[in-house]
Amino acid sequence: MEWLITTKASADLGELDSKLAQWDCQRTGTPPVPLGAGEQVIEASGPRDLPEKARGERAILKVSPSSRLTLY
Amino acid sequence: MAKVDVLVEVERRQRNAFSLHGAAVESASETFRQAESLVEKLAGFGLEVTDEIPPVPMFAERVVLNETSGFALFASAETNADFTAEGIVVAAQVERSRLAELQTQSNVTVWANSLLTLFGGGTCGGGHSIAELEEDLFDLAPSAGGIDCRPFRPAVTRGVIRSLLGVSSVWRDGFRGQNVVVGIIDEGVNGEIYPVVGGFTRPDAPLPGGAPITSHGSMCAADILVAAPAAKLYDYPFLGVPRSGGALAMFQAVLEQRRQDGTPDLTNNSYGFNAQPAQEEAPNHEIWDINHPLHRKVREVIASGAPAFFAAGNCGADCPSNRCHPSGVGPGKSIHASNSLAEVITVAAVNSRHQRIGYSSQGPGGFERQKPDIAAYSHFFGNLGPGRPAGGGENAFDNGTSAAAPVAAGVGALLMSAVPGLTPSKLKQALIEGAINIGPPGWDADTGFGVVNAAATYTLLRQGHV
Repeated sequence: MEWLITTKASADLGELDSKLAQWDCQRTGTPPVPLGAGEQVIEASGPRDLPEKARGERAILKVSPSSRLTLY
Repeated sequence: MAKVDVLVEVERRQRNAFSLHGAAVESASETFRQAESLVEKLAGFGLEVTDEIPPVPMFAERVVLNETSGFALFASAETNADFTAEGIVVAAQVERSRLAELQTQSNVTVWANSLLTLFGGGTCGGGHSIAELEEDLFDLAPSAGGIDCRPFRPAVTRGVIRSLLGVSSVWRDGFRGQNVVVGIIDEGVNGEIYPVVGGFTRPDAPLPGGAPITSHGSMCAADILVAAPAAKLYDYPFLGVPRSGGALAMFQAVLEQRRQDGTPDLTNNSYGFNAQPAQEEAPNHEIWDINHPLHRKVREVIASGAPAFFAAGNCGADCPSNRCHPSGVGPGKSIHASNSLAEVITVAAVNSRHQRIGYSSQGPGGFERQKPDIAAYSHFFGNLGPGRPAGGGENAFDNGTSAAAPVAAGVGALLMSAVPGLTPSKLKQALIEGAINIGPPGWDADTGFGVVNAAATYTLLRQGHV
């Protein structure tokens, strides 16, 4: 499943990658997208229960789905 | 031996083709001179040119259909520069027995020159010809709504849509969307035909404007140019499968460009979701979470001063698209996610008779209740259809709320070229107040506050009523 992970802009991406790997999750190749003041969004592929696994992880502010869109 | 009438098309680059043709129109001897010169190399076939028509220049499609330097420029009252033809057609007679051989000659195409029949009282599918529609635009509007479902009413020309929108009052004052750039977030736009001047670039991504003419994004481009033919376009294509992550990245690219130079001035977004997952099962889904990163990024772009037009969706109750999941069909279930944000301009679809098209998604919206905001026209020959860039017959036409949203965005671009300093909220308010209400007074779930109208909105803005 595709996910959008919101972190602090100052988050160490190397540490995040290690943590994601433990959850059988990895970042896709797209660059992080800055969001608001001091946050960024990272695209990743991972298991369906990623939000539960990431809960309590201080570096991760939010896990949102990256759902498939349809052209109208 | 019996001779047959033919049209012989000779491949030849001919500069100043209009002027040369004009000279042949003026003089029969010049017609013969040009025609005989063109078929000189075919003398052995017993070809006899006639003075039935002066030699007619033919132009390359890429030249003709180019929206910025092509024949669309001829709509202006000014004299345009001459063009270079790619071929010339000559009327001639040839013995039937020589036809097959003549047709094998290189750089020559032989066409029939057949008798035509004048048709009387022709009608267009639903009983009204295009000419009748153009004459009776508003008389044909039903008094109490109405729904257009399969088989749909016949499509109409861009001219009809322009008349209905009332663009002429803005055009008369010299504004056609010039100096406004519209960002199209979609599957890509064809930049050979449409005026793509920038967009998302990355080394491993296709260049802006690289999409085929049949792409969904090219349809959006055509439909923006209905009201704003002088607008320019930025192409922000989804990379691979369209996902909210891809849309997020494109909105970031829009924001970065705006940061650099204030463009694009607005965006068009003709996509969304066709189903509603249960909230308890997917509380973080884009449909339920108003603070999903995509929605936040959309709000950031609007806050930067760029209005965002979104299609309502094609999951209306009466004849939903077959791609709609039952969970996302009908009133209160079919306008959601970014398409239902209070800050965006959500566009439903009507036909040229002001009937709601039955697949147009219906409010209330998921985040903001009063969605759609307005309606705009769909089912016309824009990118698709006879003589249009993507081609097709009369059953091929621009459709969906995907077409309606860029029609409205084109009106937005037109107004932004005419009224400097329009903020997203002011533009939205003006479009709402200038709309032609076709349902119950005020807002309704089918067509919002009514059908977008450039003339009325322009007047309201000029007179300072908004």
